[in-house]
Amino acid sequence: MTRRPWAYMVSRFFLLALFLFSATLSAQTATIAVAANFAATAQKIADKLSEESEFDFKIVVGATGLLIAQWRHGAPFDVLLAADRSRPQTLQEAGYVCADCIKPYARGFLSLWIPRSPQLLLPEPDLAALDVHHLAVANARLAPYGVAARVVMDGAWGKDQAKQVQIVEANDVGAAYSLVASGAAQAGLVALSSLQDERVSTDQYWTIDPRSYPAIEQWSVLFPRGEANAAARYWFEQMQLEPVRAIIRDAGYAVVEE
Amino acid sequence: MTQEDWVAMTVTVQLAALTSAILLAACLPLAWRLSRSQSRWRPVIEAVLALPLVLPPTVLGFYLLVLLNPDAFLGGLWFTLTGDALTFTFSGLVIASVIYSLPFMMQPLLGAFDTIEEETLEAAASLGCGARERFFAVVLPTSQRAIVAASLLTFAHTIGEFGVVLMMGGNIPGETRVISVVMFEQVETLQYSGAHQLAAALLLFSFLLLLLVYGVYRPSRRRAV
Amino acid sequence: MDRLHCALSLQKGAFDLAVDLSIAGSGVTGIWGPNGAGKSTLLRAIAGLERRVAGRIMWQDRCWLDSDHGVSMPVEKRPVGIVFQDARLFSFTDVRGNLEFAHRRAFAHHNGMPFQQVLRTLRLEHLLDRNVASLSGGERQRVAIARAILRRPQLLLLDEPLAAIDVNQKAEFVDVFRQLTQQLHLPVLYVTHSLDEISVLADELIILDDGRVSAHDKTQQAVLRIDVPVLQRRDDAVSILDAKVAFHDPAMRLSHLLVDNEPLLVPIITAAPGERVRLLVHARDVALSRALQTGLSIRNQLPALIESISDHPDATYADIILSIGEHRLTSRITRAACRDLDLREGEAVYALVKSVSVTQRHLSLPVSF
Repeated sequence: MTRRPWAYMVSRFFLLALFLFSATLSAQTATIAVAANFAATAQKIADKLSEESEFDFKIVVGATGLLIAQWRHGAPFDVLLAADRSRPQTLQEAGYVCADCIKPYARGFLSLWIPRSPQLLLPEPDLAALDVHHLAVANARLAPYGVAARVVMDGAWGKDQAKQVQIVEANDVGAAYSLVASGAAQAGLVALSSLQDERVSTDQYWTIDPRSYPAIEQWSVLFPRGEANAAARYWFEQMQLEPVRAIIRDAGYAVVEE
Repeated sequence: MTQEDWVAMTVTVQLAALTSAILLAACLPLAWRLSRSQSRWRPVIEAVLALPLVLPPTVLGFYLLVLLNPDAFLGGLWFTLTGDALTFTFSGLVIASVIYSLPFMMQPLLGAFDTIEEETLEAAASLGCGARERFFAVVLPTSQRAIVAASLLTFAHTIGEFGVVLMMGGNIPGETRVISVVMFEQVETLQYSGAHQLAAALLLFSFLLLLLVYGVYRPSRRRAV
Repeated sequence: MDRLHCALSLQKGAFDLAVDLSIAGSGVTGIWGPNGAGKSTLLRAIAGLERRVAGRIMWQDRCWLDSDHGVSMPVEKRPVGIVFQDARLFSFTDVRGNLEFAHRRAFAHHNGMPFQQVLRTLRLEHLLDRNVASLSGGERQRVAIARAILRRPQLLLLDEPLAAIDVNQKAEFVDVFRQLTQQLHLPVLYVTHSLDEISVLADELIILDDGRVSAHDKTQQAVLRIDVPVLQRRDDAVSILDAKVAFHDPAMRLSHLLVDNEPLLVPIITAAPGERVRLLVHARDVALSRALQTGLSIRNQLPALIESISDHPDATYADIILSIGEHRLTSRITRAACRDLDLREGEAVYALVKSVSVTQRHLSLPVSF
């Protein structure tokens, strides 16, 4: 469990210098920019899809906003798997991508994770009764997981929190996971998918009732460059179809019926 | 800039100022000792002190998280002494910044001290200066430009600190939320104009600081009479 | 009268120094020897700048060093002022700052020359606001001396102060130095490798050779020690005479001096009648004659007695030591001439002095005629 935060960090800052030689890539390859929290799953999807087709896929991981900024300045991305819904929508409304070029691909779930939970023995997550030094969440300005966490916390403690718990923000939900994993924060509102990925023992976490927070939807974007790329179109379509959806579900997400 | 941004700026400047002050106080004697040392361990010590230069900031941030945790040794020690956790606090950030910016204070000081010859110190001794007085009355005045330069560099470097803070800060407003993270958020949320403004302000600030270092404090050409 | 007692030994690499000296507590004592003799090392050991010195150094009733009892006074506590060969002025301040640095740290209970007087004597008034780097070598050394003196030491140590100064400035330096020693009454230890320099400046001379003392005597006597190997190795010998100014002849640009009441002519000097002057005479410039010569261009013919003849079978030259009243003079002539003239000890002869070195301004480096 403690080794994985490394991978998260490394993958997160795995920069785009890599695919500068994308000039040599043929139309048989697509470059997929992926939000960090979906990186592992995206790799599994890439492996599956390249097995089943004659296409190849290059996965580039980063923070959604940074990936978009890079794309705006010429980064050769064909598809973006964003961490939220609002930014893909913003791109479409601004006319950067075509009307059908954004689609939801996953729905994430929030879990309360307390690694050293034996003391707590709660049958159900009761945030109001939480007594730890630090609770890690994603930054609400940057990630829907963070927004969801805020809503949940406001619901538990009211607008002015009881402050027996200090809230610490990580810049995304994967970093929030790392904070808890490293022991720096004793508890966290993290993505269910990460917990399942890391095979964390189920007696350490509780899934928060999805009705108590705004849906965490992650949407994909087909960039204009990708529209002309057969491999990219293939990926974009397959994300909505079963074999891929099964992978997504297995990873701890739900799929979004539009 | 919003009220929030100003708070973040204040935290950033306080962090940089405190870090620079601590490093100055600690590195002056350390650099002096090291400079005069004939020990064969000197290259080893210098290499260790230069490590933060090459260490990825996130690695540094991560290890600090692990070490400063109240459950860990160092963090636990702090907890028993002060009753506070070290993680996600301004103090913890200061510790991180001190380590992160250490080479920026150490290297210029060491370089300046190395240029001070034994002969000058002998002359000072012959005029009645003991070891401590030699340091304060001769070494420091001789190195004043380097000291100012080192302090300004350290300050500027800490202002720009990002990776470490991102890893282990916790982004708590008024406590660990610094201006570089604010900028990151603006880029992340596609608020480019805000990011441009902030970046321009920081750039100007850093440039002026460096101008001070290189311009005003450049050794004045000795005027030939 | 206090003396500085030092019996010390030290080892530096392949070189070792071992001396046992009692140095006068007044006047200028020169330390002379060839390069590598250990002169600077000795000075530094006395100052306290050398490590691992064994032995004892005593001044007045204070013990500066006693290695048997683990006593070693650090240099900052010893009442010495040091003038280094390279001046070593502080570059972070100007001349005034350097001087005040020393002045602030002066030994409170010692007598010393007032600040303004130091400036005047060393001719520094117009240099006070100058940047250290813009000074010439001679100016720098004068500031260094002023700085050392302002600390009110009881002993002044100079390590080859003229080495880094060019010829034109040496004259002024020596002039200033001589005035200083007259006013200051401070014992001075002066290290140099130039015999000419030290001969005119020092009252006593210590000759150091390969880490050992070869001679320690009044300067006039010391330079005549032809038995001392390092003096023998020189290609000339020198003598020192003290003379008194009788009167000047401005028309002929000459000064008439008296050496033990014998007249001596030199190029005109600035000393006033009645003043004492020190003269340097090279042995090769002294010829001998059994009788007073006429029709000779050499003006100075001094009656003298032969005191000793040093005549080695393998040498071309012989050194004859003459006495003129209280003074001694060395003459170097060929052994052939010595044999032809049949010179013997105790005989009366005339010393024909072709060239006498005096200073232009009372006492600086030789300008001969």
